[in-house]
Amino acid sequence: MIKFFLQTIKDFNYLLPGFYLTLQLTFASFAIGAVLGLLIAILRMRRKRGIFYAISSWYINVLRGTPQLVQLLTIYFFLGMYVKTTPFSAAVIGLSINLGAYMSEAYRGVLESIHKGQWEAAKSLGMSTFSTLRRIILPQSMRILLPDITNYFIMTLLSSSLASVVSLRELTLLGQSYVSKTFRVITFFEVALLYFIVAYPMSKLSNYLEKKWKHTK
Amino acid sequence: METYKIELKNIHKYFGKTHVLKGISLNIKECEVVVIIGPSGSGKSTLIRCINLLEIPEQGEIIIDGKKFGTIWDKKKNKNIPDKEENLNKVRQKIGMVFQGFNLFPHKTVLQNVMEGPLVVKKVKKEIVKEESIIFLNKVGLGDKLNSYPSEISGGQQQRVAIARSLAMKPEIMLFDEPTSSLDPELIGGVLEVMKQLVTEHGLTMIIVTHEMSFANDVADRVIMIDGGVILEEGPPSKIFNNPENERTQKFLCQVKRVENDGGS
Repeated sequence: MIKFFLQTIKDFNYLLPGFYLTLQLTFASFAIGAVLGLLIAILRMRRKRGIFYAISSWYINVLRGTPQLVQLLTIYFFLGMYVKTTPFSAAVIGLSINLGAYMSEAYRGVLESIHKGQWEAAKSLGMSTFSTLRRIILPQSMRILLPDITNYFIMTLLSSSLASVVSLRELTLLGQSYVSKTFRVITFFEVALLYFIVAYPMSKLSNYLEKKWKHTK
Repeated sequence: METYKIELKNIHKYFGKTHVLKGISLNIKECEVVVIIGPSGSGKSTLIRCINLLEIPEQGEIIIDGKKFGTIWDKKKNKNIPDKEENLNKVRQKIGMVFQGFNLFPHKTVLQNVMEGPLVVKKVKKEIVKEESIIFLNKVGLGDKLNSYPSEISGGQQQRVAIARSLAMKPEIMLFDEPTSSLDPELIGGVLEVMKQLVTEHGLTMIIVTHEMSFANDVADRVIMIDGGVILEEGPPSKIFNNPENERTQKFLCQVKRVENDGGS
């Protein structure tokens, strides 16, 4: 029994650097992707024609219509021919532009669902478009979007495991190489557990905030 | 030459192909209380929304305090285009607006709703804004609801908060776009009471779109009847309500009266 515990601790000790790398990758990709998605959504909402609208539409369609795994491979190997890309930077780019495409559509839906009276009330007070977005429209949108945003975060965390194909030694790849070295297949459970202990509290937090903000919607 | 607070010159507004306002000209003096009446779809709400440029009239000029406001004539397109946002917002600060649907910010408390304008637009210190906002909320009888959210109070209370929110900007002009039309009958009185108080105490220039005829009769310096996008008739309330000249005005007032009588009020 004691031996089992000691071995488990040893496993986790080995996996820990991969876990940190996964967290870094997730936070970086999520932050960039969420901001990117928001910018695209706002710009698309303000002007519904023109070159930017056309390009951004294609960006969204292509990224949502191709496998993320293929996107990662393309970015790593194609971009790698022209610029020096590390596995980490390629993974961040790949995950964040994919997330940006999905989130921009989610943002757009919610931004447009905010009643136009909110814009008018802010305008009639003399508020600028920027202040209105920042103080009136976005806070309301975030309250509606929160469960979605949490899901996107969890999605990013889980799909960060795809970065193993560009030879980034994140949690999944590290676990895999550990298993092939030691034949301790139980390690995959330990890998899964490490993902789960981040994802589960996130969805709990989202439920809590959703309840707390219920009456302010 | 007499000076006016608001001058509207030959305002035309289209929604797509519908010609909603067909050349409305109107001069309003400082501190004047003008009530606009007319059947639904007549363009009265659109007109009032043009005054603070929530709608951009394709043709015509809006002049406030002797200065042209908000639109620039585009020769090529042969219609008005909106001025820069900074210029619009500078003038909008002077014009308060109360909407039919209240449009309170649902994620902010009653107090925060009232504080928002002075705090963000005028950048007044928070302590001062808070103090003043509480005074305004007391004035509209909601001093005990400071920390409630809009969804927790009645429609009539929400509309009174909306009035306080506009007043907090210390406007010179107030626009009311059917402020009581979406309220239950028993809640209308409180809102009208607050508006009456504004007329007597504040010396604001007010433009009110409403169906409350007895209220109009009490507060208006001038009543304007609009139908089909044009001004049919205007004059002091005694004349419009007792001896309307235009046939359509007579008909409209008759219909409104019948509804009021049916309602038992």
